Amino acid sequence: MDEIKPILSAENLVHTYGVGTPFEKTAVDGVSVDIFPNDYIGVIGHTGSGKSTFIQHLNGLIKPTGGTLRFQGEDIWQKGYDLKSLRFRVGMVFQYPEHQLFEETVEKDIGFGPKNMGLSAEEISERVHAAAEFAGIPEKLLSKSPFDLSGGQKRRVAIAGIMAMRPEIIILDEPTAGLDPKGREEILSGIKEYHEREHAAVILVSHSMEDIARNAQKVMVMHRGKLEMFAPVRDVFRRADRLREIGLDVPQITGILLRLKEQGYDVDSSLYSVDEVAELILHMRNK
Amino acid sequence: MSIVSVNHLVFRYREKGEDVLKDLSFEVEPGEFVAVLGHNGSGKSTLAKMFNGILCPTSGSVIVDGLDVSSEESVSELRKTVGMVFQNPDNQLVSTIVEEDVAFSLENQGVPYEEMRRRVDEAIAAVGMSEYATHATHKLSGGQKQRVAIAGVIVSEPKLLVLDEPTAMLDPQGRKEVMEIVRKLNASGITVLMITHYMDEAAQADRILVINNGEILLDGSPHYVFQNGGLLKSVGLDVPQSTELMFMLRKEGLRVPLSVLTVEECFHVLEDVLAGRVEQDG
Repeated sequence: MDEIKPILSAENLVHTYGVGTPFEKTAVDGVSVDIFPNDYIGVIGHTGSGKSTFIQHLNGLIKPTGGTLRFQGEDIWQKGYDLKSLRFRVGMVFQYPEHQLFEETVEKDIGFGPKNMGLSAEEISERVHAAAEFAGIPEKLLSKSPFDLSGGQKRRVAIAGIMAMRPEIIILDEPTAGLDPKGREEILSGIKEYHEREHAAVILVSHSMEDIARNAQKVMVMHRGKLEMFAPVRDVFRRADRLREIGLDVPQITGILLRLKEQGYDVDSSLYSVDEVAELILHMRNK
Repeated sequence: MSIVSVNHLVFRYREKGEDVLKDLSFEVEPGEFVAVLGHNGSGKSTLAKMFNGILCPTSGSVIVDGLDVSSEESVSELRKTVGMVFQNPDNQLVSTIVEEDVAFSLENQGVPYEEMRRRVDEAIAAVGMSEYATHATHKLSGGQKQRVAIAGVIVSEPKLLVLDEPTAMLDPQGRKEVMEIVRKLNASGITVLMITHYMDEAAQADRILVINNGEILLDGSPHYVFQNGGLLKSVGLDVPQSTELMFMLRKEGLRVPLSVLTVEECFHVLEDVLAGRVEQDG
């Protein structure tokens, strides 16, 4: 039997800023984690918990001051490693990515990454159209200037630009910040579709526990630079007290179950979707 | 008398452009906490910019505490009456030290030192940041920065506080901190108008205005507004998860109330359901 190997793994990763200065600060402190193809991982942690510093290691944007990061088993900081092609394979969508649009047309902007990969014109065009579809960008917008689009559309163009490189892992830092519920849903469903159709791993950093609950399979909880928890969504939201202690929360629906449990009702407080809870309540009532 | 009076407000950015706000009329009473909901592009941020004269109506009028926002003469008075807080705290902080930042507007107004000292201390205390008064602003968390930005606004003792998505960039802890401060300021008498995308924050207001395509779609208490879950969803908004749960139980014939917003309210309804105190159709 073939063992499934992690696509990306961090081994005891450490990152200390300003070593030897009075401002020395360890932002990532010994994080070890294996990410497998097809994983959908949510990353939560309050501001300053080290999650942004951590994810910037994953495509070699910053070099760890300790520990190792491996992509498909190979240390990405070993001599002669091709970091440039790693960045095509591990796509990173930063916060407010729409600030990084710059081309004359939406089509050129989405095609910028594939062009840098040295692909043929046909291949670029094929990828641009596929990525636009994932990101929910209508064909007719492709010839427009990205600067004439709404905020939510610009954000989708920026995400499509990363998807067009067909990364095997896509990392998104707060992709839905500042969007309304419908805009959030459109972006998240596009990411899910990419994840399912391209069998790509997704790493989603979000402050919204509801978004994490609805989309991720596993959750990394960062606290003071350390990996506080790394477990399936259910097991993480079961620990509401600890999450609240470290400035996080659980989805409202989980909070309601916890309240019932506190009052002695025998409920499974690891449920986190509204459908599941409605079903549970009906079932308990009819017993 | 109303503190805000919006009468047949129409606004477009370009003369021949589309109307972003179309014939809006509403009043806000002193001491009210009003949340404004609407999808991206609904016109709600444009509306927010009317209250202190950043933008002026194309037609119709906006009167705040007796001041017409379109009138040149009232602008400086208006800026003292209306405090504005925006999404990104980093764009609003001007000094490197907390108390200096909070004092900035008073220094510009030439307020005497003794009075300035007192008002700065009070404003910093009101947002719970006293122990950070002499700290560097860049070292604060997002929630703390936003609280300092709020202190920098309330130090001018505004009657109306307008917040445009003040929590959009904050983590759950930061959001909680900011919402607590906003509620506290409101309880102390400041009228609050807050734009948000978070349904749970809107649920904490006295009243919700839902704006869609530059028009008022719904106007009423959170309980009233969130009962219209279908309508909200049709315009790209949502309801809190507790309300959604009630809608689902209703579909199964349980006669639960739809206006359930908080964990506590929902818990009590579920207790009734489980104890068989709620009737089921069919």
